Amino acid sequence: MVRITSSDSQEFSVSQDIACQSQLIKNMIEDVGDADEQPIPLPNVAGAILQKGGSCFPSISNAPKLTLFAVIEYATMHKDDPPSAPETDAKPSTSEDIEDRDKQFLNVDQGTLFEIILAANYLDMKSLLDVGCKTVANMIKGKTVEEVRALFNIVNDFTPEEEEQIRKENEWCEDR
Amino acid sequence: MNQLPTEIIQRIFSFIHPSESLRFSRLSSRIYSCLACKDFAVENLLVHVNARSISLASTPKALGVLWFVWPSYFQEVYAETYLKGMLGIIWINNTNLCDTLIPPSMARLTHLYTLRLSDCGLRGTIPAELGHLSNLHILHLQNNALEGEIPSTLASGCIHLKDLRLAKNSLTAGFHVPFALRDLKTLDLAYNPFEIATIPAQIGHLNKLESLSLTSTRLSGCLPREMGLLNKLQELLLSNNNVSGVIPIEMQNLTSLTYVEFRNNPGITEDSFEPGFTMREPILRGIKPVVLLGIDPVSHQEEEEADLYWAD
Repeated sequence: MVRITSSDSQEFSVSQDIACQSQLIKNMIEDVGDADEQPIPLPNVAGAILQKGGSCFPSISNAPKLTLFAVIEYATMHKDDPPSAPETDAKPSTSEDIEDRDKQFLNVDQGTLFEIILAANYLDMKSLLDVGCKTVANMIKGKTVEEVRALFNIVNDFTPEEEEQIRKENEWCEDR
Repeated sequence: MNQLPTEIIQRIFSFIHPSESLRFSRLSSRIYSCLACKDFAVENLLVHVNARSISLASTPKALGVLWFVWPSYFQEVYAETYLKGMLGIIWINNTNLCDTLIPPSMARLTHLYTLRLSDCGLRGTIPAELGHLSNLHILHLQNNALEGEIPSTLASGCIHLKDLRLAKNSLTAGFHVPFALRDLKTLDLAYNPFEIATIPAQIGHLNKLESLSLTSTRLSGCLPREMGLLNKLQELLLSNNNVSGVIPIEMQNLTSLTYVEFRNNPGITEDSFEPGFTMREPILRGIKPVVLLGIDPVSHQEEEEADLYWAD
């Protein structure tokens, strides 16, 4: 077992094969050697506040998740996955090919989704990072720029002239 | 989303097809700075391009077409990463390319032997970068809307060119440039409004030349005596110009010459042959007004399957 503590000092105990889906933790364990003694601190990942749902797996959609808790849940779900194929042989992965269980797992509010993506990035978990980014990409696809701004609260900080300039640069895809 | 690290923003948008991804670069200045760069182009293409079965110019969203419309940083990454080994690009009459420019990054395809983009509605200039294509033997850009000059880099860089067709564009300068290409067998500059067009004496070096078409190029001045050195010349098209002076006696030596069009040059008549010129056919036939309507004996139109082939 490996002990991990989140930024808000919550401690989690997970088996090594699950923890090592994070390249970061894997490297830490390899560096430290015996990981049983000390918990591994992850100062960049919040355990987050548990508002409801108790201490069970908060897998009901819309329930706020513990970020680290959620990441562990994902890692547990995928612990028996075959190692990913080498880049060269892999067919281009599009944002359509998200497994149903991952879709369900990432059916969370926007804030949580970004928290998970950031945690996956920090923990160096490529498959979770990709599936998270694909989920966001799917929310963007086919929408107008204005719709995407509204969806993600993105403030348009261009002057009208600047925006027009960029629109011109990309006229070829604006029209199609 | 603005607060996410650059690599995550790039990762998210990389999952959107490169026909659409850059549309979102105007979301905010933060997102623009993440997407309008080579790093993003690399990542975006990596997700969507399968190098083994590149879909070419068959649809408006095919990568081959996008290559012509992307910003330069995308064009370069695509050419450098996926097209470098190309031997030939043959897209004739491809309406998907209408109103696009020739990508300067075409220059990265240094193995290119054939480049044929005729009847595609291309506009803009012929990029000087094409001069990097030192293996290029065939360049067909006829029947587009290209303007400006024939870049001098073609003569200095594409030294193996044997078939150069730039007819039916709006080229105005660089008429003399192709005359430095000594391997030319076919040179077609017809129907371009050149500002200055005279046949230079160096044409005498083009001793492989079989077909020369300068119809309606605002050609003026005399025919240089060196034209008599073109002993492989079979076809000479000079109609609708302003050629003057005499037809030099050296042109009697053009024994391969079978077809001449020399009509509609006010300065040239049946009396323009230099004294002593005995073998007047077929030039004389080319000067005489057409009496009977016939079929153009030489067809310039070649129909070929539009296709892009690879080197292995």
